[in-house]
Amino acid sequence: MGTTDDTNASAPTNRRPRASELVAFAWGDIELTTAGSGPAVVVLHRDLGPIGCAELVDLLAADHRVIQISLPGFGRSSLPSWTRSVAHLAALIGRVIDGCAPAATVVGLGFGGWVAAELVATSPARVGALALVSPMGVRPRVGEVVDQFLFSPLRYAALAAGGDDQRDRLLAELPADQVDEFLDRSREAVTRVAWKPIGHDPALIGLLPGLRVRAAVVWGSDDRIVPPSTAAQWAALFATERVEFVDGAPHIVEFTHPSVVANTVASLERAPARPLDRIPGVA
Amino acid sequence: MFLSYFSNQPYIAYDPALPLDITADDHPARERGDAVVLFSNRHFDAPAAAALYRERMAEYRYVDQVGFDGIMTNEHHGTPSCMSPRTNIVATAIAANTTRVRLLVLGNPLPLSDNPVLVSEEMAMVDLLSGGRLIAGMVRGGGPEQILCDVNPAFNRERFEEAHDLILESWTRPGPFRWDGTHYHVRVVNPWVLPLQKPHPPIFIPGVTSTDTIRFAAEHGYPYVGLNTTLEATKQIWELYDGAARAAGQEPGTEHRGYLMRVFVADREEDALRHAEQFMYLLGEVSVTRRPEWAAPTGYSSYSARRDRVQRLTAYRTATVADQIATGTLVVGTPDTVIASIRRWLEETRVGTLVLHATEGRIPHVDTMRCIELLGRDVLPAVRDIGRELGIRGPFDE
Repeated sequence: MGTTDDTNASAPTNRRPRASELVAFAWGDIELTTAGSGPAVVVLHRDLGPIGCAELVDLLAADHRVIQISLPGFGRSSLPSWTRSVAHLAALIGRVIDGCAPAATVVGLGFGGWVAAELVATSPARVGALALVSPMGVRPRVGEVVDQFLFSPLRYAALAAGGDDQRDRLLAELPADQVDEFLDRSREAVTRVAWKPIGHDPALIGLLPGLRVRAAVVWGSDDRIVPPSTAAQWAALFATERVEFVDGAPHIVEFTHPSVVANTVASLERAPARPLDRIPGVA
Repeated sequence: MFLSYFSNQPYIAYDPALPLDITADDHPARERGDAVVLFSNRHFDAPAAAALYRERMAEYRYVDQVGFDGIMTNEHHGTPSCMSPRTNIVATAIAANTTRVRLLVLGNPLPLSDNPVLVSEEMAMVDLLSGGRLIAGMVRGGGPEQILCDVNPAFNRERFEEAHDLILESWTRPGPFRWDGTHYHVRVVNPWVLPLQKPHPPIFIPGVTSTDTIRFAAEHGYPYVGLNTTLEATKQIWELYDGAARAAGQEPGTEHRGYLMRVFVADREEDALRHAEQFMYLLGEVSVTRRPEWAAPTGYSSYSARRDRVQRLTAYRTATVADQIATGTLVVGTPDTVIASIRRWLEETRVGTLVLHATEGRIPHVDTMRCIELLGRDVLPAVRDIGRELGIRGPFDE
């Protein structure tokens, strides 16, 4: 199924009120940005950091309590020195979700989708439903995940955003004198937990099959970071037919086509719940 | 004084215009001008490379004959600028081709190895084969090395320090024992090849200006070799080094001070000046500083330290040959000219180890051999006299 409407071509106005706070956990601080009220939706951002999802958060906040979590090491969140893998990040994020949005719908964007997949792989009960938007985490059968460490941060951001103009518009969310350091901090967090293999965890394809989590996959047809054909692999891993391709959209679909992602979340939440696996004979 | 020779062993058998082009089969991340990391090795000509190695070995044999005290070796990957992807291998070859010189391995990039005991064994083997001539230099490895050897730059310094500790322990503590560290976990440490020099070979640490590395060297009492730093930066290094050494209970002296100087000597000033351009090879044609994300990858050091490093390297790279000669980071000329320049440098910096980086780029072998000859015949004796006159002690002086 393809979608072409909803291109976010102008700067947003009249944002919904949102609150940002640092919450202390045993391992360090986590930055939470919340907006709206209603059933909880957790948003996990991309490897560029917690930017580019303001419009999506706005749309979701119309009828949800949206919690955007800055992943450990990104934004103002701290990264424990012992973290070595995306699975470690997922373990920390699981504890955050337990505290603020148990069994919520999780929207995983790119690298955040990888974190969400690691989370659901080991703790499926922590996630009510899972919307994966051009996620990393699985090795593509065709092509490869781009190695951001071979590109300058600005050039990588342009690849993700679908061009220099779109990149500049994305980064305009940040004070101009903080762009370089913001991108560097995000890249350092990725370096620490996902240096190699590049963009995937070989264990996920063994851990994910058989989970009964409601899942949907959204992908930009012009994604230059993770090959769009990878969508079929994710669909198979979660046994879902909910796969949406957005014509002409880059890797950061939620920035260019936020309502497509918001509609996917709404549709996913209307789908009937899939019961968790039970061990026969055990109550 | 300890006077050593150095060549980067550049691979030069390709058209220098090639890096300026982008072709359809280039890697998508490669940018115009990149001659490292993603510059395709389809331009590598193996027979030409073998011939270049033969020339370098002939030069090293001559260096040994003309009176140098040491030959420095290094290691880089994925670049035509250096044909030494394993410093211990070239040191072994030099050991077999020479009889006198110390092997200044500067150095083994410790974080690149997932088992530093293997590096310990290799260095011990070089020491044994050379009859105790190894200087076991240790380095963090450059930025591109982290990418090309697939080693996480975020843990580079921690790995360097832990690998250093493990190697020293493997040389000095009888095995077998287990190493359970933060980054290294070795089930059995029990190398059956140990160095000839006891308790272990001398250790040198080179660097550009990383304050953490200078402090590390000072606190351990290791000579620090500034790699062609500016005069001002070199003086700052010794200020930091001396303070850190004293704070750690060490007494710093000229024997702890080293400097790598780019030098070229010829019979006529104009010939030396003509070849001076070749020292821009590293700064221009194969410079990694045009790509900060490779030269100093994220995590390799703090954001501010990397930003400062890139700014410094960029300024260095964009300086003209004339600027570099004027500031003394590049010394070229007849023996008399060069001796006068080295005297000024020694008066200002009082280094006990001087490494003469005395060929580069496409300087012909025959001219490099003549340079070595003039260095040995005229420059080295004069520099030793200057050292004595200034009261400069080398690391191996009695």
